[in-house]
Amino acid sequence: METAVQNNHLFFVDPRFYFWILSFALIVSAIGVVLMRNIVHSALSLCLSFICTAGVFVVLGAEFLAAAEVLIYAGAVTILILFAIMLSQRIIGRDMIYRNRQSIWAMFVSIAMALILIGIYATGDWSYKPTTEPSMANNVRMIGRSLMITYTLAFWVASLMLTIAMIGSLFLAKKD
Amino acid sequence: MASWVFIFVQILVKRIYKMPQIIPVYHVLVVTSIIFSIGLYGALSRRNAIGILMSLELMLVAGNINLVAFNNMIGPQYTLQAFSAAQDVLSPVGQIFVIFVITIAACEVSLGLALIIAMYRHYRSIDIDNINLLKW
Amino acid sequence: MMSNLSQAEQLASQVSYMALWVPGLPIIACFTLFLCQVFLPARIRDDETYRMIMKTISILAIGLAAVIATFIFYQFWMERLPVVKGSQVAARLLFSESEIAPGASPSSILAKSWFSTGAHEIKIGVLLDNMSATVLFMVAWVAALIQIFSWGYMEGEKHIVRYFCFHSLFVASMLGMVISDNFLTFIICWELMGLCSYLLIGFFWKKRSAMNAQKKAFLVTRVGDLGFFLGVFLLMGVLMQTGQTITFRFEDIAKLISEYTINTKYALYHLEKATLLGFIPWFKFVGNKLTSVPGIPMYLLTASALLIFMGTIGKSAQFPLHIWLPDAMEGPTPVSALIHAATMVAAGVYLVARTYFIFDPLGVGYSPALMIVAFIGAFTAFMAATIGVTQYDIKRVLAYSTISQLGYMVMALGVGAMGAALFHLTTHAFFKALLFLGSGAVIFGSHHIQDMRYMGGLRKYMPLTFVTFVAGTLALIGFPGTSGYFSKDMILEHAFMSALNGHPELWIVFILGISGAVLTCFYMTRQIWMVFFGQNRREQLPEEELHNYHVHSAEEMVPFQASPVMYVPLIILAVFAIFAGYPVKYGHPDLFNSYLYQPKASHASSQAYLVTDTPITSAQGGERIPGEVMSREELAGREATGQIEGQGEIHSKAVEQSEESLESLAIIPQILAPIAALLGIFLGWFVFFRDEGRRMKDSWKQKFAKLYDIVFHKYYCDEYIQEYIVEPFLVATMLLRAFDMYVIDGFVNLAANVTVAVTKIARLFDEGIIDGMVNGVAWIVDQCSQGIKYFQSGYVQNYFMAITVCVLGYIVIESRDTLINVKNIIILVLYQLGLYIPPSA
Repeated sequence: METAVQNNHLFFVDPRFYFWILSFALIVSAIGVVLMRNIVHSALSLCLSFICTAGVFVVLGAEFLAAAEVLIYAGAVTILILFAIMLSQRIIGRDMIYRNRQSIWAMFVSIAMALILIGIYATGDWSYKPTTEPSMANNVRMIGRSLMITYTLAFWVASLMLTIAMIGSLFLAKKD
Repeated sequence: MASWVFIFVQILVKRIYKMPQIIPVYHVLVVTSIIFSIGLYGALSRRNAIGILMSLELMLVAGNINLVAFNNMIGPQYTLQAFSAAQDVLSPVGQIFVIFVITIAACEVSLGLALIIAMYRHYRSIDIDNINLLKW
Repeated sequence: MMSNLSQAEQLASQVSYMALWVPGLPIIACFTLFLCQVFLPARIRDDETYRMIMKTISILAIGLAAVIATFIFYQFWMERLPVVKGSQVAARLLFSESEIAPGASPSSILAKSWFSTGAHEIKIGVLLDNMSATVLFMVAWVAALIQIFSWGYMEGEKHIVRYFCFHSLFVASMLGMVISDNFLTFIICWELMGLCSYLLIGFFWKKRSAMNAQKKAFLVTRVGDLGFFLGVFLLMGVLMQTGQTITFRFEDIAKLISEYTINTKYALYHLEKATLLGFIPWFKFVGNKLTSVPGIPMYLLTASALLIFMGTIGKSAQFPLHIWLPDAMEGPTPVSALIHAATMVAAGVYLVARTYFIFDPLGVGYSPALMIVAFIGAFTAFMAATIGVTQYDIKRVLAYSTISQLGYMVMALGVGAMGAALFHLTTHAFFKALLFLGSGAVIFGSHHIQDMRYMGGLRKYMPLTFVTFVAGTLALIGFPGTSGYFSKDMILEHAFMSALNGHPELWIVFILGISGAVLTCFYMTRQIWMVFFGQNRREQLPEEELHNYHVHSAEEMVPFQASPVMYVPLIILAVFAIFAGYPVKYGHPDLFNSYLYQPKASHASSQAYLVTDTPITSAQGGERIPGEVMSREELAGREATGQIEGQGEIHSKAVEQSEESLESLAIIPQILAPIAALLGIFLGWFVFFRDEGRRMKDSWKQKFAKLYDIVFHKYYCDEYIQEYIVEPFLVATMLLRAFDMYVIDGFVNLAANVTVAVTKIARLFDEGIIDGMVNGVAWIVDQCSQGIKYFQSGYVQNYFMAITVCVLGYIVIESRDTLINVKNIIILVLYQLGLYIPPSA
């Protein structure tokens, strides 16, 4: 099988190909997030970007994260945002100007940011010199073991954070 | 037909498993830079408060992808002797980081949306230009 | 060390230590009374028992002091004390502490340095020689008796404690003055006496006349004190020229004067007497050629002596400054008795006696200074006697009598009879105190009538007072046998002999003295008649004055004899007045000598010799400095034995008359004085007793009305002084006040105004510039903030943009090294894309 793949269908089993497709989709959906006038469209575009991100995670070998991303982001966060949108728009909502007065400057700044970052990355040494070629087998197991053994405290703090955020958002959002 | 897909995916996945560094980190970084700057633009220029929050999420997404890419690059350095003496396992340091980032992002989104709802209750609008009490 | 001294010296040191208690006890009494009066509450102070206790304390103090003074005097009387300066005049001295070897020049004990100012050390001490012991005794007893008298006289007086306090202070200062041995304590006590006189004259300070009198007394004596101080300063300055260290002590000054005085002018005074216009004798001072000897010229000593005498003129009420004494009778009668009759006015005489070595440095008993002294004294004696004839206030008569007798004392000093002057001082103290106290008893007994015109016939009502008063009068007029006779006789005798022996100008003095004696008798007889004889004239009191005496009619004021506490001192004083002369005259005639002054002759009668040009060495040893005066006795002795080996000429004009013939003429004044007294009594009897003064009233008064008027108004002295001295002073004061107010205050106000103007300018500066700077800073900040405030737009996204830009900037700056390589990469990428062709392909 491998040879067939290697010989003929190299192109379509190359993770790089799928990475570029997913990243292209990601970029497109990101642009959709920031440029769409309708906030709900913007939220749906955000959901799409999350899904593309999950795909990128898979390509990069972090399938657990992909699953987590889809679950949390594309599932809960998107729904949350949609709920908030629904709760905070007038029934007969008018379209407000979606860009403010500094959007031109923002464009320049963001383009500058991108270029600078890319420029910095360009001069870096990204060579990969492993002693052995590790595999990514048992990714979930690895993550589990790390979380529970090495990063237990952080895990616990994260849970505490979630509790606090829940209480906080309850408090902030309640009517008084 | 399904078998071809199955084989295809197996091969793909095996390839990915066998060679985690198959995608150059630099390419990933470029992509994430672009996404980060797009998110930055959105955070700077959108008037809708929830729009700003969504752009913020985009920026975080870019950061997550970066972390995973760096995990593939740096992970082999970490020989986590605590749980495995095998040399051929990739340490999931970056992915753990990403888990926490996702956690925090979720908290932040919920709190931000709570704030936005409170703001809506006060101003009857979520135009961020309404919040200018610190204006001179 | 005590065993080295003889018994006399031990006694001397004991006595001189005891002498400190004599003024010390009254001072303690004064302070006790003062502190009690100041610090005790009024409840206690109004208590009669408290007053009794205070009076007792004061009298006990002065009584004890009198006892100690008696004891001291007794030692002197019995001549138990050592004699120093073995000259012809034997002086009784006290030795110092036993550390001084006997035979060395004595000094007073307690001659520790009181304080020192640089090179000069001020030493004080006690000096008791014959003179001071006698005067001490007199003053202490008179003061004690007067205090006992004032117990009775001032009965019912509310402020009696104040009276006794000042009285004790006065007594203390007088006694301190008597025993002091240096100018400093002398002047201190002198001033204290003046102060007490002021306080006691104005004791009844509610009376306007008393206030004026006290001010007058103080100011007039102050004028005299000015001269006194100037004299002391001049003396000190003169003595400093000698180059020796000077002190204020009398004996050091006497020693310096005796060593250094050269008689540039005086000695030839005897020899070269010129006459002005042919008949007025005047003193031509001829200089001699003594130039190489350093010393003190006579004229400076004369000047300082005369200035010191000004103190006497003020204090002892001599001619120009006598005006305060009659007005001083506003004080209580015992005060008049003590201060203005017996003691304080005698202080001036004591001063001259103490510093007699300045007046007569050559020891001949006469000098230009003494001449002026004699003239002033004689003139005062006569003038005051004339005024006393016309006064009708009983105390005024006695006041003028006092002035007259003081003139006698000063006159005695002037003719060289220091001992006679002091003798008269003591006897005068006794009888004048007696007379004043007697007049006090009279006043007290006639319900405080003081005007003699409303008295009369009081010898029936108060016999004891009458007898003692007559005794005092007899002593005053010099009735033969009384003490006053001996002293006054001695004075007139000295004046006579001095005039006879080459000083013809002193004849005026003698004549004035005799006339004064006549007038004294006259007015005293008048007083006795007016007060004690004839009909009682109290009905003649005008109606409007009756309320002054707190009675409704004159009949109520029946005269009465005063209580024993008042007449016992009178009796004691009468005894003294009558009999005090005998012990002095026939017992110890040297009782008034001073060891500071050794006259070379008994009175100013012996001629002096002058040794000129070059020093004479005599075989008797010692070199006489040129110009030293030797007495005839000294020189006579040498001539007889040919011991004079002079190298220069001796100018001598020895009077070859034998002294005995001149001395035999001394009988003349001894006869003249009682004749004068009897003449005066006769005149008084003739005028008053015979026909009750009617003749005086009717004819003589009309004839001499104008003269009587002038004399009655005291020769208008007060008026002249008021017009020609006091008024100009007041005008000058007003001018000075105007000057002070307008010129000096103008300057001060100008300074103040200038300061205010400067302040205004400074305020402008401060407000404009400094405040402007501060405000300017605030304005700049404000303007800046006006521009910068737009950064606070309030929009979160603006802030976010700012943060982003800053972060970007930071990234760029921190990674500029890295970013430089981007250029190459861009080139590479473009080259790979085919869009860029490198130049060096």
